[in-house]
Amino acid sequence: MIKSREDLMNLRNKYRDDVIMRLISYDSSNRTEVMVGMADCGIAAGARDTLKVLFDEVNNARLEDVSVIAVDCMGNCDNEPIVQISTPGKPVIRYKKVDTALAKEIVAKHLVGGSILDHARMEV
Amino acid sequence: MNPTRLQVLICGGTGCISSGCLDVETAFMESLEKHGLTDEVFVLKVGCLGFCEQGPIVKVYPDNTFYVRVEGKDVEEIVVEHLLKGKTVERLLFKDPETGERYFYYKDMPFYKSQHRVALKLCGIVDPEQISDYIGVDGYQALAQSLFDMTPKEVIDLIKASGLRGRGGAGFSTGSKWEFAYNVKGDKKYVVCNADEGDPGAFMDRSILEGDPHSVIEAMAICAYAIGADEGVVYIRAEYPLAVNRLRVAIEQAREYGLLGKNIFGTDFSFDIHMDLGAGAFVCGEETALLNSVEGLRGEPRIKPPFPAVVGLWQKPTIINNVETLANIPQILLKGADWFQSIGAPGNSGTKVFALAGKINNVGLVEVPMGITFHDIIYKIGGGIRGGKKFKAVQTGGPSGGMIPVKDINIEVTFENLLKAGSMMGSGGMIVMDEDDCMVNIAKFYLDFTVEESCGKCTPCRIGTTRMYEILDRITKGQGKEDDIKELKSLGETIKDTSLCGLGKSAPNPILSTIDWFLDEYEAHIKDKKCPAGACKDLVSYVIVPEKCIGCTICARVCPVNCIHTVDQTVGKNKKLHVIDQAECVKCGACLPKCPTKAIILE
Amino acid sequence: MAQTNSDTTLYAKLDEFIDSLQTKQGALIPVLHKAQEIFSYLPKEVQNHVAHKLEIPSSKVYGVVTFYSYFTMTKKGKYRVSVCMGTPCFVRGADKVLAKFESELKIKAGTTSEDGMYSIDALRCVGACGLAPVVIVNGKVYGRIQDNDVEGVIKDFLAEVEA
Repeated sequence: MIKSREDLMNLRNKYRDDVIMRLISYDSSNRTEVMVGMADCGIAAGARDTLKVLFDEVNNARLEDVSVIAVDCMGNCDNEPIVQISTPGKPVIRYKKVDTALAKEIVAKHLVGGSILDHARMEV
Repeated sequence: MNPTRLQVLICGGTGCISSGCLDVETAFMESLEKHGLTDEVFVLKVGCLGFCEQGPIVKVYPDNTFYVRVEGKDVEEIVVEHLLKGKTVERLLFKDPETGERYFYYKDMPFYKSQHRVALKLCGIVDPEQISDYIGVDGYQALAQSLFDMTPKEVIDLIKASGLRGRGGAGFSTGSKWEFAYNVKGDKKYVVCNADEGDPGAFMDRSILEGDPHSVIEAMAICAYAIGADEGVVYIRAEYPLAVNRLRVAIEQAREYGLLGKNIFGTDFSFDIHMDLGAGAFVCGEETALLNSVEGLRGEPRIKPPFPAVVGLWQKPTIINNVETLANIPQILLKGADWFQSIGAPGNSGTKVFALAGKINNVGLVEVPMGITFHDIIYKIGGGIRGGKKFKAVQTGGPSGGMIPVKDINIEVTFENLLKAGSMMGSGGMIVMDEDDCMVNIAKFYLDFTVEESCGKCTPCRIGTTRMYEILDRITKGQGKEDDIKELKSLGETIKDTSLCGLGKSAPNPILSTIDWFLDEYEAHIKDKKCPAGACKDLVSYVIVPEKCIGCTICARVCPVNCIHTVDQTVGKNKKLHVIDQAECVKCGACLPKCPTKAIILE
Repeated sequence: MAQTNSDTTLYAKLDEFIDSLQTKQGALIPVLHKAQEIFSYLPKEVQNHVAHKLEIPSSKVYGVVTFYSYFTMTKKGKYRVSVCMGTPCFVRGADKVLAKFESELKIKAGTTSEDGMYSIDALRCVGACGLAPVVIVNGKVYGRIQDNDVEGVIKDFLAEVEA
C-alpha cells in the first residue's frame, strides 16, 4: 500500500531492475555491449558461467547502460571464453580465457573503473 | 524477482493472439524447462508491438532481436541457437518483401524507423498485468507530481500549453476542455474515458488498453485532480474482451496499491474508477450518446449546448477524453509542454496513432509525428501497396471521413489539412485502397454501416442516409440515373446541415468525397453501366478469350451452376472451346483463378 | 412459457447479480450483459423479468435491447460463425466470404438454422486487421480467409468439436 510519495519512489527503485533491460534497449543508443562468445567451443570452455557472473556483477553494480549479450563464435576457439566490450566512441576491447574470477575483475576495473586489463587483452 | 540475463517478450495483442502467440508462449515455457534455462530467461507477454501483419512477434532482450511470424515449432530453435548459444535464427527475422533484406533490430526496420512512440511508448515494454512494471518505469510519478507540486490550475495550464488536442476525432484542445469543467462550481464531477472505439478498422485505443492500461488510469486520476472530480468511468466496447480484462486487472491492482481509492498518497485527494461495457452501438462514441448509455438508456445524442463539461453524466460536469488522448497526459506532465510541442507540426503538437490496414504490405499500428505526409506513412512505414498494385486512395476517419486521392498524397497529416481535403482525422483508421477497389462500392459500404448505426433520433440522418443508400445501391446495380449524382450531393449537404450529432453531420462524407475525387467512376457506372475496378458484381461479366482457351475443362468443372459449355470450335490439342453462358452465370468468380492459361477475364 | 428447473437456476443466478448491485440507477445495461451471459440471448420472458426486478417499464428494456447490436433476441446456433465486416476485411474480400458461408450453410447473416446447428453474424471490426479477412467460429479465429477457403473452415470446425 502506497501512502506517500516516498513509498512510490521506493517501489520504483525496487521494480526498476525488472524492466530496465527493456527500456535501455528501447531508447538508448550509447549503451555499452558486453558480448560473450557462446558457440559450442565457448560453452565447452565455461562461457555459461562467465556469462552468468558478468550479468550478475553488472546488475549488482547497477550499470544501467551496460548490456550483457550472448553472441555466436568469435573465432579463435583456443582462447574461449572470449568477452568483447564495445562502447560507442571507443575502440573495441577483447579479453581471452575469461573465467568467473576474471569476469568479476572486468566488471570492477573495466566497466566501473574505466581501465583496460592489459594482462588478459587479446588482438581484435 | 531476480533480474534475468535474457527476457523474451511475446506480443500478446489481440492480433497476435489470433495468429497463435499463446502456443508460442507455452512452447517457450516447455523448452526453457527442458534446457534448464528458467532461471536465466524470463518470458512475458506484452501489449501490441504494432506489426500485426507479421505476428506473432517475439522480441529478445537485451540484444533486441525481433522475430516475426513465430510458430510453436520454431521455439526450440530459438531457445537452443539464440538463447543458449547467442546465434540469431536468421530465417525468423523480418524480410523486406521489396528488397529481400533481413533486419536484426526493430529500430532498423522501415516500419519502425519513421515512427515516434509517445502514446504507445510503453506498449510492448511493460507487462500490462503487472503494476510493478509500470511503477518501475516511473509510473504514477506524474500523478504524484501533480498532487504535491502543482495546483489544479497549474496542471490545466500545462496541458493547455502542450497544445494537446483530442485524439478521438474533432481535435478540440484538451486543456481548454478541462478548464471548462474546472470553472464550473459543483460538489460532484466525473471523468469519463471514451473507449468505445467503433470505427471499423481502428484499433489503437484497444491496443493501448491491452498494452499499457495504467497510463490511462493515471491520466484519469490527473484529470480528476485538475477538475475536482472523485469518480471515473471507462466506457469500453464489450467486443474487446482482452482489453476489458486487462483494464479490470489494472484497476484492481491500482486499488491494492492505494493509487485509486481514498486519500491517495496520504493526501485528501480521492478517486476511483469503474468500467461500463458498451453494447455495440457506433453512435455511443459520440460523447453525449455515451453519457446516455452509461445512464442505462438508449444511446441517443443530447442537444449541445450545454456541453458535458458543464452538464454531463447525471447532470454533473463531466470530462470525456478518448483513450489515446489520455495516454499522452502522464508523459506531458513528466517531460513538459515544450517537449510535447517539439514533436509534430505547428498547432498540431505530438503524435497520432493510426491503424494502417487495407491493401498495404505492412498492416499494423503506427504512431507518427503530426505533420508527416501520407506518402511517408504508406510507402516508408507501410511498405507500399500489396502485390505491386496501383495506389488509388487512402481513407481516413472511417464512416465519418473521406478519401485522400493520389494527388493529395503529399499533404501533411494535420487536423486542418484533412478537413480541407474533405476528410477528417477521426479516431485514426487509415485504410489503403488500390486499383481493384471500386469507389462507388466503398461509399456504399460505409453508408450501409451508417444506415445500420444511425440511432434514429433525427430525421435527416435516419431517412436521409437510407435514401442515399438506395441511390448508391441502384448505381452499383447498373440502374443509375442521370441526375443521381446531383441528388446525392444535395441530400448529403442537407444531412450535414441538419443532423443533430456528429454521426449524421459526417455520414455523407464518404460519398461526397468520392464524388469529388472519383466522379469518372460514378459516371462510368451510371452512363456506361460499367464498373472500372471490376468490383460491382452486377456490372461485370466473366468471359473466356477464345484465343487463349485450350479446352482443358477445368473451368467447367469448378463452375457451381454448370454454366460453362463447349461449342463446336477446336482449340488446343483437338479440344473444344469453352464459353460462359452469361444468362446463367452467377459471377462467383470460381473459374477465374483456376484457368491455367489465364483465358478468363473480367469485362 | 413454463419455467423448467434449469430455467429457475438461471433466473436465480440473474437475481443474485441484480441484488448484489449497490444501486439500480443506470444498471440496466450491465444487467442485460449479465442476462445474456447467463441465457445466451434475451427472449421476451427474460426482458420482462429484468424490467420487474429493476422496477422499470418492459418497453424501456425492449427499447434498450433492440438499440444495441450486442444484445440479441434470437438464440444462436451450436456453431456461431462470425465474419468480420470491418473495412480492412471488406476491402480484402470479406463480403464474398460472408456470401459463401450463407450459401454453404443455407442461412442468411443474422439468423440461425432451423435445427439450431449454425448461426451466421456479420461482426463489427474485431481489430485483427493484419489477418484480414477474419472469421471467428465459437471463439476460434481463422485469418486470411478467402471465399474458396470457406468449405475448409466448415470442415475444420465440425471436426474440431467432434474430436
